[in-house]
Amino acid sequence: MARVAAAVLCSFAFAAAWGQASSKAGASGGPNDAQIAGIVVAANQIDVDAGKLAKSRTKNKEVSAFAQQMITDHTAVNKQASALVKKLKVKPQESDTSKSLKAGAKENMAKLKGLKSAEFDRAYVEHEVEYHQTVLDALDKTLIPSASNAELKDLLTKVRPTIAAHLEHAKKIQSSLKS
Amino acid sequence: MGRGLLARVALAATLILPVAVMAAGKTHNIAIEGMKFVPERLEVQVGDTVIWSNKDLVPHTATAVKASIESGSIAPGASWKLTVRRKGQIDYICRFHPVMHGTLVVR
Repeated sequence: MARVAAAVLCSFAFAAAWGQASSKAGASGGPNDAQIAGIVVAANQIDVDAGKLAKSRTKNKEVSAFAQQMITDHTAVNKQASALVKKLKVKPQESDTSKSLKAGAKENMAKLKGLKSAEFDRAYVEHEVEYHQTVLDALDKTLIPSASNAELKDLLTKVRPTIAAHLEHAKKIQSSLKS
Repeated sequence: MGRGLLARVALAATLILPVAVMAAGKTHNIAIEGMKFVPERLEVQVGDTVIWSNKDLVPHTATAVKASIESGSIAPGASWKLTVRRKGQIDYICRFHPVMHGTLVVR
């Protein structure tokens, strides 16, 4: 029950975070490229950190392999994002969205740190499903449409299938943990 | 002496090269792009070479446990090649992203 409540709260926090971004989109054409860069860097780093925690905690092989993949892939995406940002001479900027993302991540990490074994695995994977779904929606509704630089838009479009595959992978593990 | 040797090498090359090319078989390309193997299904002949090129942002593999095929990690921008030696159907995945599937039909 508590877990469901936490999950619901968590989704609200995310919805609120991205909501701010999309309401801005209505007012001023969405987050600017520097803010988008800040969101991308934060979103990737958050999942790398969660993956590191999961790798150190889990005893489940499948969960461990997934966590390692999140570390590898999100590090790779951030490397490319950083290279592009440098090339474009854009300085990643904090925004309400990136701040809310970081606050939500802090909360999730605190919650995960209090859990052990199977309970930890389920909570980590459940959050990964929600997180990747949220990021996917943000890419489609806010980030890709708002990006003004063509190369940044391209990078975001290229990131999308990776996030979609992670989501599918996380859902598969989620259902295997239930049975 | 230089010219004589050169002529002989050139002659040898014209004689040998076409045979070498034929024996090497055809080369086929599979792009790893957008978390997919493109094309997902490919028909090749025994002796052909298949090159997997990773055009994604993240590392991938081409792995078929039953057929003992393991590319190891293919970094973004890198590629891996395999010359197929046996007939049959090879179903492979990306070991990192098990949702990615591909099929090689070797005739």
